[in-house]
Amino acid sequence: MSDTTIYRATKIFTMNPHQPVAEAVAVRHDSVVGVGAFAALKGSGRVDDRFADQFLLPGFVEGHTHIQTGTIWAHVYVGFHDRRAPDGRLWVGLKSFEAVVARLCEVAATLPADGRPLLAWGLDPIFLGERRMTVAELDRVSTTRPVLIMHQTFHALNVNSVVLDRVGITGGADVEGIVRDANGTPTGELREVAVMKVALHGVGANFNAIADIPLGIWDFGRIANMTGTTTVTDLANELPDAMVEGYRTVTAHDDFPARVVPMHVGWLMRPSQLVERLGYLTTLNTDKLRFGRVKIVVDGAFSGFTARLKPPGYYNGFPNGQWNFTRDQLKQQMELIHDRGYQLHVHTNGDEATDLAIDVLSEIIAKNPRANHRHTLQHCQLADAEQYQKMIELGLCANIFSNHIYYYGDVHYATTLGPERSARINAAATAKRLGVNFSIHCDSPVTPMAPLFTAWCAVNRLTAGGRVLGAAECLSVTDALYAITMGAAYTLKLEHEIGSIETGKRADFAVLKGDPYAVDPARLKDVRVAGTVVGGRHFPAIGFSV
Amino acid sequence: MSADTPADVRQFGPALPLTVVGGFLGAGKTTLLNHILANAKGRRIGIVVNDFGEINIDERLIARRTDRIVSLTNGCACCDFGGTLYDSLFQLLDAAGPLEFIVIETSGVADPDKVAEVGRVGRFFRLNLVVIVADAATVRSHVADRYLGDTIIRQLTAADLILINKTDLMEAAEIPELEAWLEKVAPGIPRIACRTAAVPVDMLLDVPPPDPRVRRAVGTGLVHDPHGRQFESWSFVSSRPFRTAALHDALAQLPRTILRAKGLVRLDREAERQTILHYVAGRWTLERGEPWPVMPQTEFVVIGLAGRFERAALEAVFTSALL
Repeated sequence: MSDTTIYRATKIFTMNPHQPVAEAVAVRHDSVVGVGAFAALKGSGRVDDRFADQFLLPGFVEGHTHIQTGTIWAHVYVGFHDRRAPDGRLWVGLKSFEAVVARLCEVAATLPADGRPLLAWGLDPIFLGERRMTVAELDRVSTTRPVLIMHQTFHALNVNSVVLDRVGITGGADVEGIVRDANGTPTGELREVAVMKVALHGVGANFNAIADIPLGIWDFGRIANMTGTTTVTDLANELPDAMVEGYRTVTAHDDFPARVVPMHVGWLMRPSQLVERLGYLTTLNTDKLRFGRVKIVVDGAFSGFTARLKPPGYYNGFPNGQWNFTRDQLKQQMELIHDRGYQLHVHTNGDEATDLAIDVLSEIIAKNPRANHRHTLQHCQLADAEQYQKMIELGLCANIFSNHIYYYGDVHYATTLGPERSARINAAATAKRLGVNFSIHCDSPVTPMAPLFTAWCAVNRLTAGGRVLGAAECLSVTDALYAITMGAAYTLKLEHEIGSIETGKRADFAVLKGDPYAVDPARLKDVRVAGTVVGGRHFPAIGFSV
Repeated sequence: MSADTPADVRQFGPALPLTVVGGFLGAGKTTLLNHILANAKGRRIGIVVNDFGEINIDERLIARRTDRIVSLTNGCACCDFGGTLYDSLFQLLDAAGPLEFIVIETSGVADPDKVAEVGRVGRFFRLNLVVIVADAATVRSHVADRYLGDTIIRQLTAADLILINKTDLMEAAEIPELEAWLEKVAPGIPRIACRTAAVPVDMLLDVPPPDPRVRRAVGTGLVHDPHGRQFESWSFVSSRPFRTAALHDALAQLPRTILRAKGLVRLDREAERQTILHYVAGRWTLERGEPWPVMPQTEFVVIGLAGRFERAALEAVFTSALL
């Protein structure tokens, strides 16, 4: 008897056009050795029926997430939407400021009286009506301990009066980033990066500090597992030695349920040092850990009005956003990475940033044409047909931020972009029609990781407020599920290893309780994930119950 | 896991004056920083730089070098910020020992006004001056650039003082045309022309208060001109106290061409104590000082662009604020 296992499932969706649907998959060690009719595979190994009443898809590939997906759970979740923590606990979404305060009071009561700050995250006031949270509400949590809530957008904070007092934020100075009430008194909401940094520093709070790197990576993997994801990305990481060591140790563990693609921050080192570092890091690559990709950031984000837009700019007349680097600096950052054969993942939110990225990349590529570079524009939220066409011509891929449609579509409609442009944000159908190689993503923890939800966003384009935002850009279920498997694998240059269920590839599966192709597309997000298989090893989802 | 340091053990000194140096790449920001370091004159200046590879730090001056911080034997320190300016700023504050001034060099595309927010918020910093360096030869073409134009205009309009740098590389006849163009793009903002960013460092950081040992005639404006042809100063002296509210009004009326005022004033509310006046580019503080040692007397110096303010008008404004 060989050490092959034949898994039967209700249906196996392979993403292999030669055989889109199968009954069984044979797995030996970490790889697929056969896919097809059960009768054809029978006899090649031991039969395992654990998935007999379930559906298998290729393990989902999330092309834009962050390690903070795991580490942010060191802080208390107070968001509007239900969210499952890495330990499987479901944190019920909080539908009022009252409920937020109640949860924080509950947590505060369990803490020692050491005066350390209480940090929470996920607040999204746009879902909680017109009113904003105030310092008085957070003072009910504590008047001795700093209390800070990071908004879900990561572009604003709410704090209590302990923070305001200690940092010295008082009435008087007219600073844009300090929200004030009708009397000029600070409400405790702080918006600009500079203001937020001053407040955080003043009380010794740091949302980004990773106190326990291995734990953070484990939690990242646990969230991947419960969402059917078998490959995650970390965009981007400075990758100091301790982080590299953490990734190596944790991903080498047989029980770690994900492959990780950490992308190196592309702007803190000289390009010559960076390629040297990448040269070293890629020697550490394993089947579960892949270095060798670099992230570049061209503009900011819509939530902070820092994305760069082409004319006429922001719908509400807000000044245009901010560049992070000049054209020459971007060219300098990207050129050597391209020349040495590494892959670039370039953040562009606004369409002017996308223009600049295309502009710079076309110059670099023209100078040193290289097949198969697959540099990928990340977010690409306002890319239009013209830009996608140029991307095809240059061999660029796109990773589209479909989750934004649901979470921020209403804001785009009313404030940032207006009705017409918001109807074509994250234009996945245009990308598909023109033949762009693309994926769709969540950018967690900015929005929660859940590729089926991301696919649902791309298929339905429904906003949280219930508006269908540009029906012309809706993807079919087939295309959306392709985007979260093969599409994403292609943008990571890993499509020969992952992204489909076929012989020779890694045995990475998403195990689903329902048939995502048969379900009403409006309910695609509700298809339950029962777990994953990573490299032939089964990881039932934590917190999953039948 | 929320904090590295318990909040209650953190101690903060008085607010540090903070000068922001902005402007596009190649304008001369680094040259200006080198000039500031070379003319620190005993001031302990902490500089957050975009890239300290570009700063010429004399190796003999380097006392120690850690990950991102270079400490100098003269008490100054530089911190390299890469992508995280604010984190580096606080790192510098925590690691560099006592500092008296902070200078931040922004990135070439940053909005200096946003960076200056750290000097308007909280107790750590007090915004001193936003100085923008513009390359005389290239600033117009940068404003005409499709991607850059609005960024450069935002930088110029954020300035308290624009340094038109490298004017030596340009025909003298072109300068008035450039001045006229700048007046249109950034109306009313004081400008000075310079070469190799050589401007009096006092004007960028702090000017000395009037020397108390030198007695001056009451009510007389005195001209002394330590800053060459670019700046001129004027002193106000009076033994009569100011009406406090009227002094605030007078300061609010000062033209933008006045960059600094410093000295001691006697207020009606606090006639028996010195009040320290510190005015920079439209922002000022009146801080409670020591009791008057001998005879109470207001004496402060006002410094602005040479030939760009009326001494008689100044005298009238301040005199009318006296009790």
